[in-house]
Amino acid sequence: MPFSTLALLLCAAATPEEGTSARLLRPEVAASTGIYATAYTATGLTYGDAMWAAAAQARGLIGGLTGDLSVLGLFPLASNQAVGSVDLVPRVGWTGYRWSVLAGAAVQIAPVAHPVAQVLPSLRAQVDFGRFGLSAGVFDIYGQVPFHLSAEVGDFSLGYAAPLGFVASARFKLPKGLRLRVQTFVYRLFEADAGMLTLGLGWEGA
Amino acid sequence: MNRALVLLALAACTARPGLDDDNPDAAGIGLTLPKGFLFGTATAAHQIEGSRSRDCDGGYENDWTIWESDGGHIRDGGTSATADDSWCHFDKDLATMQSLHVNAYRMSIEWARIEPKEGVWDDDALGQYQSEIRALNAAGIKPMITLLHFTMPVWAYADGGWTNPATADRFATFVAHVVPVLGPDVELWCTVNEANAYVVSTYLLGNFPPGELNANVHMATAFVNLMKAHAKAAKIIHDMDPGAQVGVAHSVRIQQPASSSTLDVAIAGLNDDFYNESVPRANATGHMVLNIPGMFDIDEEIPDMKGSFDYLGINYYTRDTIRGDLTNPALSNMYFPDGRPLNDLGWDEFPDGLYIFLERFKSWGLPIYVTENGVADTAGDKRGRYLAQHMDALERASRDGVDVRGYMHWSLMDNFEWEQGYAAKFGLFSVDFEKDPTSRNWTPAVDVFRTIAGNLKP
Repeated sequence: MPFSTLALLLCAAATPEEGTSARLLRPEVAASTGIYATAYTATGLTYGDAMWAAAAQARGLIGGLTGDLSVLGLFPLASNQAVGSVDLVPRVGWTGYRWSVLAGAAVQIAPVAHPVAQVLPSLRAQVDFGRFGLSAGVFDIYGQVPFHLSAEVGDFSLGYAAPLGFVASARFKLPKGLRLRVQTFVYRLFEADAGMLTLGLGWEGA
Repeated sequence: MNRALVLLALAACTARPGLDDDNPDAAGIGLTLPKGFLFGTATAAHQIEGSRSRDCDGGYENDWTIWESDGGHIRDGGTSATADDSWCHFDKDLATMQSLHVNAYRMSIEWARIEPKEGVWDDDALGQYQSEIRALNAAGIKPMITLLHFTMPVWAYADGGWTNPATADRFATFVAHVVPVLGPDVELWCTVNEANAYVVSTYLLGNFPPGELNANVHMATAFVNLMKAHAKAAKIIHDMDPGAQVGVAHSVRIQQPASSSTLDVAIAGLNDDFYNESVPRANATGHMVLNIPGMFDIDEEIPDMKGSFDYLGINYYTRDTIRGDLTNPALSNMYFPDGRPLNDLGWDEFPDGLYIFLERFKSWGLPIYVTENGVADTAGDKRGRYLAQHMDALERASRDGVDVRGYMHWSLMDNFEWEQGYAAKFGLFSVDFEKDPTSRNWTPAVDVFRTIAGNLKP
């Protein structure tokens, strides 16, 4: 399907429907924790590191102007392995009734590495069709996933992570706008594998 | 999800065997190694012989003698002219080995010395090598003969060196000339030393002649040609002596991602595949596969490559920490981290890495020799611990089922360490190059070596 045709279809689908909620326009904050693991594989070997992950993210809107910040701290679970790091992903963009585009940078800071910082672009685009939505990202999800294209149904999402892998998340409603959040991804890039599994608590505004 | 769980589980428990003891006592090392285990030292002709021998006839020119005389390429300005003067004093080296109680010695023969001009042979030089090998055998020291240890004759160098596919044919001609002479006294052949380290040093880092920087295509081309040279040499040796044991000395370095970032892990994985995996895989498949995105993508079948190894030799020294850096032409920065035990060259001492590689390469189903392992240690106070730790790692791998049959310490004595000149001291015996290049002086690691040698089953 040509890109222009796809874009037209998405725009048409994104036309607001009276009476549906604009969930992309909701502010949110969340914090989570879990395990992050990386490894590369070769014959007879998986050489990897496991880290404790602590993450937080916030999203705020002023009209359609949207700001999004995520932070991921990775802390080694053993000595003599990859060092700890912090990933900051600040992004800004615009959110309409059924769509959102955010762009920024994924900045990884590893205090004892040389060089200390790595900077990559980070993008996220979402389209909401009501109960169903699509999202795509480049160095999205705390700046970690090189590319993903996900389908969202209600509070659940499942997607493809390039070049080989998947992303998935689920939100479970709790009282007072709170959400229990589970998120995971696994992907393989060249010889390398990376994966994360986190459990967290979030709040979504009205 | 299944893959996610597997990855998480693996990452949580992989590749970090952990030393039983950070400071193992040599008194207990070697007791469980198999009968017939080879325990010796390693050298290379150009690094010890002296290209302009001081006390006897015999000299040669190769790519390195030109490189050394150009100036500015060698850290301390030294040259290989005298080195350890081993060409004239092999008897002293032999006595030094005997004092260590070794039962093996890995040495190389200098192509440029034997074939100074294409098709012109110095059979006196070849005869001296034959005498040295026979002396080793007579002393109960099993020789492992390296046919190519970095250097080449000037005439081959001037015609493109290892970027020229004809060099592999020329090397095969050299091998076909020397093997009939030396073969009756040699069982263990090492065709090519550290093809990967050679091409990186020559065409990426520019430390070896002709000193090209970031010449990625030349690096990959030379790598393939070196494997072709190995395959041709292995066939020649096997045809002449089906009982010969032929392999390579393959440099291996742990590729440790600096952090868990996508860049660091992906680049470490690519480096690992290029540097550590490509050579044993070529033996298993017959194909040399080299792929660094944006630089080269090669998949070439090499005639006679598949199954050409009777053993795999690994040269293990250190672990590289890899940090993705998009401002670097290599897209990454390799360094050795602070806060780790480092040798005089700043290399990370990581004994677990030897265990990791032995366990990893077990899956290729070949006997393994550690064809080099050592430490730059001018003061001589690190080498004993380094030796004990690495032999401890090797012995653990052996107990865990790895068919590891030998260990050659780099090196018998201080020598001409390529771009480092004489500044890097790797010798179990130190050498006073200014006053007496033939000196062979005891260092504390000698006692550790002797203790381990004494623990081996005869």
